[in-house]
Amino acid sequence: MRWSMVIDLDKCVACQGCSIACRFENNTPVVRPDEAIKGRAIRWNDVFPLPINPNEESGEYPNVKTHYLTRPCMHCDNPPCVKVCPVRATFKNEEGLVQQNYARCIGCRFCTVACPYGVRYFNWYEPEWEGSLAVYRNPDRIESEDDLEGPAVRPKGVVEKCTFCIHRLQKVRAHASDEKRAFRADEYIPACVQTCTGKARFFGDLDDPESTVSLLAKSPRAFRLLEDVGTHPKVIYLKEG
Amino acid sequence: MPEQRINKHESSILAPLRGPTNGDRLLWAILVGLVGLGGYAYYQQWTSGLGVTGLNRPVYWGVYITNFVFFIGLAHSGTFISAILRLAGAEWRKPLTRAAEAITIFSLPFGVSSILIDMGRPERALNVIFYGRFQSPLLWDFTAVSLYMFSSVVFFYLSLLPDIALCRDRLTDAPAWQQWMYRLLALGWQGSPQQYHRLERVLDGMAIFMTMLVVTVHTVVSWVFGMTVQPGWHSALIGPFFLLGAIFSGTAAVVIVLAVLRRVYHLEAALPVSLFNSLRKLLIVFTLGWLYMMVAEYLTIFYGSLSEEMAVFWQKFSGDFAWMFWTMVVMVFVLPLIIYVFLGKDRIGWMVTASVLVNIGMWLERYVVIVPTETRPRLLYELVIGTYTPTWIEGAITLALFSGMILLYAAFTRYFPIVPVWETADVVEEAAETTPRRRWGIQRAGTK
Amino acid sequence: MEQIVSVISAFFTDAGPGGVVVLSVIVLASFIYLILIRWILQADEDDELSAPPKAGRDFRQRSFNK
Repeated sequence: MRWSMVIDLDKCVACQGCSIACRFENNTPVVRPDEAIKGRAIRWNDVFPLPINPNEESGEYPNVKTHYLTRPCMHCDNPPCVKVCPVRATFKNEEGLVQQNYARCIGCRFCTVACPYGVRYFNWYEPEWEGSLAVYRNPDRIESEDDLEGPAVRPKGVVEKCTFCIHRLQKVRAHASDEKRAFRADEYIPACVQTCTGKARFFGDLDDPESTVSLLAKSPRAFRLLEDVGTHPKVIYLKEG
Repeated sequence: MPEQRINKHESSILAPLRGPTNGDRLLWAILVGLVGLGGYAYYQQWTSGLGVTGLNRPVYWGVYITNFVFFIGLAHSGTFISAILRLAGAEWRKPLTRAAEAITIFSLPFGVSSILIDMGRPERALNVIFYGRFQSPLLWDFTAVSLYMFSSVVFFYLSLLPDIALCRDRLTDAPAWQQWMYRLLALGWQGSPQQYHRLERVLDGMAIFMTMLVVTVHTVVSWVFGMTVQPGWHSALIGPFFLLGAIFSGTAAVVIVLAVLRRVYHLEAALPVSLFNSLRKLLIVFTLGWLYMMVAEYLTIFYGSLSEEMAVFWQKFSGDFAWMFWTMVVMVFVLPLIIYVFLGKDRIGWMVTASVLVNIGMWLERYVVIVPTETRPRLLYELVIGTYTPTWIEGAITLALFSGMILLYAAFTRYFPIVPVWETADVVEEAAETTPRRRWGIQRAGTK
Repeated sequence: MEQIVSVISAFFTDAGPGGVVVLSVIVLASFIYLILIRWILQADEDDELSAPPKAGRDFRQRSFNK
């Protein structure tokens, strides 16, 4: 199995519902406005304008030439972040998911500077939530003896990033095994995919030639970010057509 | 029978060891205060988190990592002079070796501390041992730097051993604890010819090993950056570039330290101006070598015009970091070259001026390698175009690191001779006599 | 052949071997340095190998009276 996501930029309206669903699903801490200005906001899924050609001006409305991109972690097949982690706090599993273990991370931030996509974030302070945000937290967590992942509340000083909602995968697998049946790939749906307003996001197994993602990946509109860097990202975008 | 070595500078070299003065105590108090301030700053960081620094996304590495690279680079001074120049047979280096190596052993711990200070979870530092992944350049770093630190201490100690015995034997009116320290650390050294013979052989062997380590260590430090895919970092030249920079800043630091020691401890006879002239020639070569590396790197980038590389290039040449970049060029190359070539000969004051410029400039150089690349990530978009303003915490900690190094160095010079008495004894004796080559081909001290 | 490649690959990518390398290097270095220091200090008058060349060739051996 190789989990992959396809995002159709024609259908995306940049509503940021994905980003919001993600932060609630994964207990992303909020930061104060002065911290956000410094660039310390944590957005596992980020929505932003990306110039099509960085050397050209993006233009003036209505002749703007830019992508509006929604960006989770690429879960690369050749992840530069995994290569540099000194303690294997980040690693790629057999299904192609690049995991992050908060219990082992030493906070050296080598992975954050190695990632060319900028998908990794750091806990500069102890995470906090205000008011009602503190009440509605996702109780899911992935935890074992020296492992802490997913929506589990992070301590300060560790790196975090999009996990493709790996806790949902675990829950769905556990559910299937309880019901004594095989697990189906289409039961595993990350929060951002589930919530997408424009139905622009698709998720599935790239190793299954019949899956939606495999079929969409063959589209002439399909491209990946920074393809020439050699990271083999598994998030596939469909260009606005 | 102990070996008879006469060093006519012995009394002036041992004079500082008569005891710390009030001036010393004042200096040490100030330095301890600065270290304490840094400790307080770090305490803030320990309790609140790295958010108290100016670091952010995308500038995840800043002043602390700059300090790390800078201090490790400074350390190369000692090894260069005592190991590399030893192998090259440069006899003039002998009076300098201990002062230079002391820079090495007192700067390395602060380089290593800088990494611990930069970590988000420093209490988990041992994870690097328990869960170490050798694919990571940080593991190569850890291995090389710890081996280098350990070996430098051993090399330093062995070079110091005969002089500790000298202190044990000569400084009979020193305080009891000090005499006890000399007796303990002298390990019963008797100064027999056989012991000296074996010591020299071990030092020769270690010099070879240390030279290999020097090349390895700073190359591996540079590969923390070089092994990523980031523009400005991912360059084949980064290894040699950092290595030359390290030897360059280290040698300049030796000039500064030597001038201070000479003045403060009245060692004008033991440390003649000719030493500075020899260092001057090396520094001219290094300045020009640094220029060569810079031209090779930036001309290549400019000519290729790859867009992600050019974004970082312009940041340095005309963007947010232009003032720092051009200041660095002036301080590391333009002014030092002019001073070393035209003003430095026989003039220690000018040598020190140029060397201070070089060291400040080299600190800026490390910063300019590290930070601009982070401010221009490939996926350029407004939310991420980076800036970085260090806070007082980072400043206080940096100041504390330098103060700590100076403190350890200054205290050391009051208890151990900073000019090697046993090594310079031969040079000072009948200089006219030429000496036969030893079995292994390294010529003993003799004519200059 | 493939097993060799996978063992080498695992050595570099698994957690743990890196720490073993660091410790081994330091322990080996400590051991070697200890032996060398002892060897230096235990130089013996009668030891042929450690004796320097006789007086006349070695300028250090002068006619001092200790």
